[in-house]
Amino acid sequence: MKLEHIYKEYNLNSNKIIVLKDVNIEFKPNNFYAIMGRSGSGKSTLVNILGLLDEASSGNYYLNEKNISSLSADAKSDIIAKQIGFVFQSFYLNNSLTALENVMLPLYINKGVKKEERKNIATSMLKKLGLSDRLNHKPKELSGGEQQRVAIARALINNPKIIIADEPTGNLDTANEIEIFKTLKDISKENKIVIVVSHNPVVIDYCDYLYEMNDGILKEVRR
Amino acid sequence: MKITDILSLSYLNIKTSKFKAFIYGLILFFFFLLLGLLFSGSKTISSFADRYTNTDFHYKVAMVDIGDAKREDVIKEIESLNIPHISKIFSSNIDIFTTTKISNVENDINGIVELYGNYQGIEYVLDSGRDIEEAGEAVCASSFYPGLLSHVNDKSEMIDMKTKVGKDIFIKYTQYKSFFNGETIDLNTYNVPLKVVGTFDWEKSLTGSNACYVAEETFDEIIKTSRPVYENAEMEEDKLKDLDILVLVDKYENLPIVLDELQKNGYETSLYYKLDLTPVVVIEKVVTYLSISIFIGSVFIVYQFIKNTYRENVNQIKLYKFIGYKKKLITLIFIVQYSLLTFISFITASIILPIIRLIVSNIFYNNPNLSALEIKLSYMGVNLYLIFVTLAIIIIFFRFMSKKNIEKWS
Ligand SMILES: Nc1ncnc2c1ncn2[C@@H]1O[C@H](COP(=O)(O)OP(=O)(O)OP(=O)(O)O)[C@@H](O)[C@H]1O
Ligand SMILES: [Mg+2]
Repeated sequence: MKLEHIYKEYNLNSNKIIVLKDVNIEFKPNNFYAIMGRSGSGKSTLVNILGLLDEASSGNYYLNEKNISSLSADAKSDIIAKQIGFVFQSFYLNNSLTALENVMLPLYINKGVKKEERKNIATSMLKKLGLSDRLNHKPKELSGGEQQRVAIARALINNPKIIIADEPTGNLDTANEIEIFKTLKDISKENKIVIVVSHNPVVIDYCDYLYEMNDGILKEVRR
Repeated sequence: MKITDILSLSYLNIKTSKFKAFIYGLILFFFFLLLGLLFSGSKTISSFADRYTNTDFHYKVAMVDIGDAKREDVIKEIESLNIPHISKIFSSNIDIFTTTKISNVENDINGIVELYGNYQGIEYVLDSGRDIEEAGEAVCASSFYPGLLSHVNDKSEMIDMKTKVGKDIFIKYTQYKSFFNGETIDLNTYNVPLKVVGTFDWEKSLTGSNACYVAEETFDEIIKTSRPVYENAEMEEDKLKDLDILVLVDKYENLPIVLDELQKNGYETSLYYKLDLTPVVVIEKVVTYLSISIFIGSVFIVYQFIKNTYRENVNQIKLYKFIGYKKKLITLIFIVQYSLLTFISFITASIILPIIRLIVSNIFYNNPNLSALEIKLSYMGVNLYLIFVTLAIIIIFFRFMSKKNIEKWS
């Protein structure tokens, strides 16, 4: 997974803002990548491009050696469904559905999973994240940390190669922060690429690679 | 993707906005119900009018003034005109029906009955047995009130004439001779057996109970032999002089044609029973306009509703997008979600409509003045509305899921 000369610019009232400036970066499995940086520096923009939720203005994006810089919306959805899992600061759980139902949602479009298996797969994923006694709880009945673990379970459910977490601990207390970073670290060791955007210095202790975003320029800080 | 999966995803979506879904369903339910009631009401009234115009033959009778001419001559003249749609010419209104005594061997039928000829244009709704096929046969009202008063609505005392199908009844009448000085003498008493071959639903035919239709030729014979015999021809003409000749038409809608033909040939005509159908026409118009307003108005409401809920569902759409659902699938989930709610409202209203009908029918049935009004059900408005709203939902969602709108949200 590789980005080459990625630029992203917005035109706001005939003012051109360049949010990403010549970003070059390569990601390898079994690694935990952390991206830090000031607010508004372009971190979310970058990971949204990586997650195919946004498109770069120019540059090349290679996934599995294939250039996927300009794909149709459906082709992007296919890649997202199979290879990318997202975790957000605000969890993005459906508050009317139980933890189990939330985690099952991505399984509906996984052709490799039979209808009868969905529940079992989701249950074991929640168990793996330590939520075996919270299966039928709705998000409102869970703590912030638990909610985020449900979101992680949902991100992992279709066994994606890439996990993208934008500020995953933004709404959590210290104990939960550490828990989440540990979990993400463990996940990365299952032959996955984990990319985490965070303001939280704790991430430094867990990541394999540390990058810093500064006004749209991405710089490797530590290996 | 399997339809069951789409359905369960739509169901999860409904769960996501339970309250709004309920309100949406409720609003549509009322529209469905309202349209069902409007169309049913309109059908009830027009079929009632139709029943008047076609099953009560009095509405299909044109009266012809004979002036100074001789009655027999006028009848012959009209017959020779060969006007289409005329099924019978009665010499006067006393020939239209006759009232006689009625009895049977079992002796449970004893009373009086109105007899009508089974001419073309006289319609009744058969509810058992068969139609009249030959002379001597009769089709009677399904109930018989065994007293001297007919048209009494005490249903508990009535005899079920369906049990008499295939059996004989006897009608008894006396022909008498009438003299200038006012005296009468009995000439002959007739006891005519009639075979009951069927019964008709008298409540749907606007005759009373205690009525029978008799084979044409038998009826003609009964009329001939029951008519009083006058002392001489002048007296007969004098007795009948103010009575018009009656012309029975096969169908109500052909009445104007026949009237027109008669007038063209110089006859002065009038109607036996006049029926003012303006209220029916007005009601039908009101229903049409009201329905159209409901269609247009409710599509606007549905549109606004979906639009508002939809804005709230943007989070759900974003969620679907980042777990890899394609746009087509998301659109489909929403369309199925709203179609499902619409369908549930449709089914609920469709179940409630016959219940309302039953209740209203019961009220009407127990009211003697209204018992002839049969409450009809019409699902046409409801069905049209289902198709209409479903199409509207599809169009609205395809519009909303357009690229421009999607970009606005991300
Ligand atoms: N749709 C848009 N139109 C115009 N400008 C945008 C748009 N989206 C983002 N930006 C701008 O791009 C810049 C980078 O935004 P981005 O969300 O990537 O920052 P961030 O590093 O994630 O910040 P934070 O830490 O606060 O989340 C910001 O200045 C923002 O105003
Ligand atoms: Mg951000």
